[in-house]
Amino acid sequence: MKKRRILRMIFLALLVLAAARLVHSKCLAATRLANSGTALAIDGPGWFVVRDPVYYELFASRRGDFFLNESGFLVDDRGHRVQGFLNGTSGEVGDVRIDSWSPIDPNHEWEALVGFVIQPNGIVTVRFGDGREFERTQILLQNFNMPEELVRIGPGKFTGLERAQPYPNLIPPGSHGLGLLRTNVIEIEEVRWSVALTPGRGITTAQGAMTSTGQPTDIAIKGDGFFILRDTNTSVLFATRAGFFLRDGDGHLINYVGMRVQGWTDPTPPLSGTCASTARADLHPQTRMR
Amino acid sequence: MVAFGIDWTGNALVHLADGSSFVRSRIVLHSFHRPDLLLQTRLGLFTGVEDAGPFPSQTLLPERKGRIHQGAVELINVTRDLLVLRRQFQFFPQGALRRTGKPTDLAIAGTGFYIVREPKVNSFFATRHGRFHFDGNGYLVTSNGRRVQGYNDDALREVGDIRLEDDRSDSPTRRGTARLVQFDAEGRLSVNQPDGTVATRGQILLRTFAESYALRPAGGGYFTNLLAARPSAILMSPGTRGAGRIVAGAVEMPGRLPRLALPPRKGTRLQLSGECGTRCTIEVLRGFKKWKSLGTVTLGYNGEAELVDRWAKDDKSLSYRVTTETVTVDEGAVPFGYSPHYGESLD
Repeated sequence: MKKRRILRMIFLALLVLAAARLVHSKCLAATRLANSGTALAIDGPGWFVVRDPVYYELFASRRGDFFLNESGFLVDDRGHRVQGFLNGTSGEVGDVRIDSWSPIDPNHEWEALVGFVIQPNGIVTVRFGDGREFERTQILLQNFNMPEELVRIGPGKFTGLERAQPYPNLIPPGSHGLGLLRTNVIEIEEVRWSVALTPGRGITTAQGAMTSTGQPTDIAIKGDGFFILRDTNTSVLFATRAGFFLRDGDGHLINYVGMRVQGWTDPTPPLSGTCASTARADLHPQTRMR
Repeated sequence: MVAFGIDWTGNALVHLADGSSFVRSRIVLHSFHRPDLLLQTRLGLFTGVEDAGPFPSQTLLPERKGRIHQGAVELINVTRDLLVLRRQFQFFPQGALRRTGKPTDLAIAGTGFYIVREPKVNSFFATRHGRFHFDGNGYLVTSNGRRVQGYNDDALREVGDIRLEDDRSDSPTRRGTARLVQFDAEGRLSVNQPDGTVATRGQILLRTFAESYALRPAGGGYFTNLLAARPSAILMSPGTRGAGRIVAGAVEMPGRLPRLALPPRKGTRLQLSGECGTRCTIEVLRGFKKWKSLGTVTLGYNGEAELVDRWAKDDKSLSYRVTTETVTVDEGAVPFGYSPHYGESLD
């Protein structure tokens, strides 16, 4: 009797382990085929880090829809460069570049690069016409303690890395619990959806009835136009005609989630003629209502 | 600054105590070439601002296209989640003052709050409810025994529970020696002396909150969460720095804000964005009934689609969900290897 109970417990334990394994193996979300050796998916936790070469801003991305640009940098559709080891599999971290530069003999003129392989651990091995191969670079990943703080700015792409508490260093795929890379596939981003309580197509721009609220920081627009608000964490701009605002302790006019209403801090904006050219500066994200 | 206002052209005006005012800044509005590219998210906000029109060139001054109305809202553009969120904030409109004639009924004509202390747990509350009285120990207290804070000495230096000590001959609580007690507009507590002179025994102090909307109701007109509401650095004498003056012998009736209700609307527009492997099915749950399919859409890379639930009613419980049919790729389905220039595979 006791033996049977022990056997049942072992069986249950094995069942739980099998279930846990199944759950773990579903780390990679749905994917689709991408007939490209530079299309990458992370089979497990982790994020690619890409850098805007113009503004030097870093983004986290799960979407590995990368390709090589004319300079040999591995980039996404916005031209943002994937981050990894600059040369070889250690040393300085920077933009991943797949070209004929050799860490063994930097001055040696190699024959034409004929191919490369991105291995599951992110190491990029290049091959030349003379048959020689070397490890040119390694793609690195990042992970976050608070990934929910990342702010989506495009398909699979996020900003707000600092707020999400990144790990101190970029990490090779397959280590520290991060997933390995898979090539020729792209992770599909989940469908996002929102609900608007207005019937029909397009947005409501028609003038609605004004309702008095008695609250001096509530503002309505009679006529065309939208208020512009800035998310102070991400500098992303939003438009709204729902003028429920507050005045914060610093004097900014904000909405209910702290986004700041945009306007001119210069009290004497141009009243005619050059509105367009002046507005560019005045509507800079740093501009705020006080 | 005493108050601020926004005029119809979007000028944010600062009104000073001396009656003067100046324009501090100005709201600008924005219109879009392609408003159809705006994507409505939560709280009545639209994303896609940069895509929907050349951003700077379409900036408007309010007087060119319309007018700014302060203290009003266009409910047609307010969403339910925004209205729900609004209920979490506290607004303190100035209520009407009703005269009672009782000298310890004190109303505030201004934006300040009394600070009262719960003596049992030594916790502080803010309130505008000024129905006070002196308890058996001589403390100026609220109806539930919380002690009003202010200067509690003749020299107006020590801050604490305001008290008229019982052992003094002029104490209003001393049996048979009740004296006339009065508060002036600055909250100073004066007591008539037996010799006919008037002596100051303390002063009620007020506190303002830069973000009074962050105060949290604690029941009975008392509010907690004082630190989060950005309190003024010090307790202030009534009549200074916009704290408001004390009106003795009167109570403030609760200021009423209009009840806002969304106009009844039928039909719900669902906006979807993202990517489906093959197609997405959108389902709706009305009340406690079963999930019912509304339709299917196909979304390519960064695709967008829209679906209208024509039977949705604004006041009914509705839930939506999107299920995605996806393709998972087998390992090795495509040759591993890639040539940057010549299209030759390494394998």
